[in-house]
Amino acid sequence: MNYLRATFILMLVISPFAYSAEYKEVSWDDLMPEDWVPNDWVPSVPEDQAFFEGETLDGVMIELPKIELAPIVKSLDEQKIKLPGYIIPIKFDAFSVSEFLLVPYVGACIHTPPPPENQIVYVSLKKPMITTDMWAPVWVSGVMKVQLSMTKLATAGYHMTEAATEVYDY
Amino acid sequence: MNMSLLLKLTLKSILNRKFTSYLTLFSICISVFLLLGVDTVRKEAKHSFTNTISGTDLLVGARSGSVQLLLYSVFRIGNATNNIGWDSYQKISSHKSVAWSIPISLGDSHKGFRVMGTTQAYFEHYRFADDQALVFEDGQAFSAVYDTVIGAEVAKQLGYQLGDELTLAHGVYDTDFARHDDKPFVLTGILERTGTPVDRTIHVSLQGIEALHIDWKTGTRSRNPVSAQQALDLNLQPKQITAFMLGLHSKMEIFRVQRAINNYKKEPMLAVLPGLALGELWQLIGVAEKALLVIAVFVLLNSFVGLLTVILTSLNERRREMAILRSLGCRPNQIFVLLASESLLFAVVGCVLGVCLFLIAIVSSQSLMQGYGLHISLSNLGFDQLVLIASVIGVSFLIGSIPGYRAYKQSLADGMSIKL
Repeated sequence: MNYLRATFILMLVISPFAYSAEYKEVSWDDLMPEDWVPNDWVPSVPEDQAFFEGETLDGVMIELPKIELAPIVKSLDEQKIKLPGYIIPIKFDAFSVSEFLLVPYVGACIHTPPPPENQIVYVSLKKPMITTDMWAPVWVSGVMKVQLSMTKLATAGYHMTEAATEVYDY
Repeated sequence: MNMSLLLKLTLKSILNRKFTSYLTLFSICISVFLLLGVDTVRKEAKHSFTNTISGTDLLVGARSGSVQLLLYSVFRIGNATNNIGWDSYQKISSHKSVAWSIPISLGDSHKGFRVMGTTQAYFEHYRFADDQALVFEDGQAFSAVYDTVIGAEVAKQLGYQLGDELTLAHGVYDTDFARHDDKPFVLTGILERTGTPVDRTIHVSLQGIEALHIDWKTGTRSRNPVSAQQALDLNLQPKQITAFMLGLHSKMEIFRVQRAINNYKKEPMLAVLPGLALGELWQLIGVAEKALLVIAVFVLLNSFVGLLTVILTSLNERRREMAILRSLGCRPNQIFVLLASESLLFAVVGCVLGVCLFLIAIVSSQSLMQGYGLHISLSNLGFDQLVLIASVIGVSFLIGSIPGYRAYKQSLADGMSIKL
């Protein structure tokens, strides 16, 4: 009986540690394939022309180098990971957010292009998170799903499911 | 001496001081009502606020500010700084990343309600409050140029039925000197209540908006107007719209499309994420909302101080009473209970009255609130309000223990040897 009790108490004591060990902490760099250099990926034509498929300001069509979407790390699939970032709400109500995009930075979007696809994680929370300060960074832990084709247009991306958030301390 | 006897004594004592008791009760009742009211209104306001748009990935309009764009395109508050070209809209909405788009054209009104030009896509793709689609209570979407669909509040306030004719006005105020009375619209559909600005909107087709303004090219009605029938034969393809909503195939592409629209060289435009714009707007309004709550809490504190004053003052008057009770065998801790239960009793009765007042106020002001686009449902009341009331009662007990403690300390001799 005493053994049982001791085991139970031990389990109680170590369970918070067991929880944190379960999710592997990764950095945003880990979401980019090692052999991929982001700078090489930037197209040589102005962004908006590239987006609108090779049309110049005068409306003349030009030949464009094919833009490849930022590659993703396939080995992250089905892994339990933990990642810090900022929340861009996608599905929300007055006091909580249930789905959001996790990005490595916010508010800097004017100077540079937005983060490439492999630096955005689409997060579905297990249960909605109460939002107090929208611009505060958070830790997000969950099961990573690497989707090679998210839609018929084949946008690759990271989707974290069954996720939970924690406060990020600076 | 048992508890029920103590409570009876408390009650008798309170009834002996009827006038001040009623006043104290009244002040607690009012402040509980105020606290509940402010808390509910601010929560419901935020609910109906965030419920206005859902499922839209990007909101696009002429270059201005994200909050302003949100206000005029979604809330129909204020006016657009500029329109955007139809060709720009075509270019962006036909992009391979875009799943659907809803064009919006604003600027006219009908008896105080805004008129919005749009397409069928609006009834198909527009979502509010957690992915709810628009539902027709009666009739169907517009198909002809002079068809119109109205929101639930418009139908209720103006008492319109299907088949009725509406005359729209040029500009956002409806006056008889700037009406499009030569081209009346026919009501083909009434939408179900949504609790959003859609309820207060009159929807027509983009071609309808174009037909209305075909003889207004100089900024006023032409001397030789084009009749409603003639207009139908003209090219009613809109040349510009006020804003549009976009739904994308993949959420991952939101930033890229947003960036491309903001950088679009042919026309200055602004694309914002509705979630972020709502957050920014709420940061602004949230201050006022918090200030209201703070005021309500202070009013409550004030009435607690009032309660404390009343009991403490009565303590002096009741020295004799205490002394007699003590001499009859009442223990000091029973004196404490006597006084503490008095403030508890005030708080409980005050809370009950306050809640009753609050419920009456909500039920009776329902239609008034809906006029402001605010929908307050009793179903959202519950745990939070209970916590509020419980804390009010808890605090009042703590406050009641102050006079209780004083009376406990005051010795028997104090009451007996008083010199009159």
